[in-house]
Amino acid sequence: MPSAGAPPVEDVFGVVAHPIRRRLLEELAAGDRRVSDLAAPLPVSRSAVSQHLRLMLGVGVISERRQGRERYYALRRNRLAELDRWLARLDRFWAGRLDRLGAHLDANP
Amino acid sequence: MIDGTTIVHEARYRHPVERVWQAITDQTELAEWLMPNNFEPVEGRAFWLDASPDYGTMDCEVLTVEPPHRLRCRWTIQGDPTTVTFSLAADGEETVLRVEHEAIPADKRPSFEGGWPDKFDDLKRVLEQEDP
Repeated sequence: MPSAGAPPVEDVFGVVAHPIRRRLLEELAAGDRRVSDLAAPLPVSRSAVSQHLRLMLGVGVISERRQGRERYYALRRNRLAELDRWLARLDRFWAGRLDRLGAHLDANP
Repeated sequence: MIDGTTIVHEARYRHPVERVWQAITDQTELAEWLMPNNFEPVEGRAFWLDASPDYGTMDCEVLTVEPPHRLRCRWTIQGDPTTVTFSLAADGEETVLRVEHEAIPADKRPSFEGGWPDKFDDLKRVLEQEDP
């Protein structure tokens, strides 16, 4: 589960669920980038990339900084790690519950 | 096991498939091993599961009831609609129960034509690298 104050996991799902945003995340994982760097290899317009970046900034999976006249975008890995933690927790939940089902069946054949 | 954004578990029980089906569809039995609930195995029926403290109370809906082999429900976990599928297969007097919990909301799943899990693994590998 997200810690208090963190955006809902649903939002992180929403970020990684979109193919263009996933490409952006992969690119940013290699290092900080400008919009123009990010847009160049993608089959979508620069303004579309800017819109995706704004959404990703809103959810908190990336950060933005100004350097001279340029804006650079950087990955915030901790926010994405929440998705993994959420899945891992659900995985443990099921392992425990299915063990309990086995014990319940054995006690009530 | 985590497969992309779906949790998959298989368990074998030394009980016949009808007995396992009952244990996953009877309100009182579900409360014994899963969580407090007002479940009824009727397609389209809304129900709740009390998953507190971990996930709070979940609003749910029965999607598919095919006794004694398949039960599919929507569980809304903290605003995220997810899908839980129980599949039961008889193996002699034993039962293999498979649970698939699709944790990524269906309406958020892009049309990757099955390419999602691999791609997600790639992304995860990248993200698991140390922060610079």
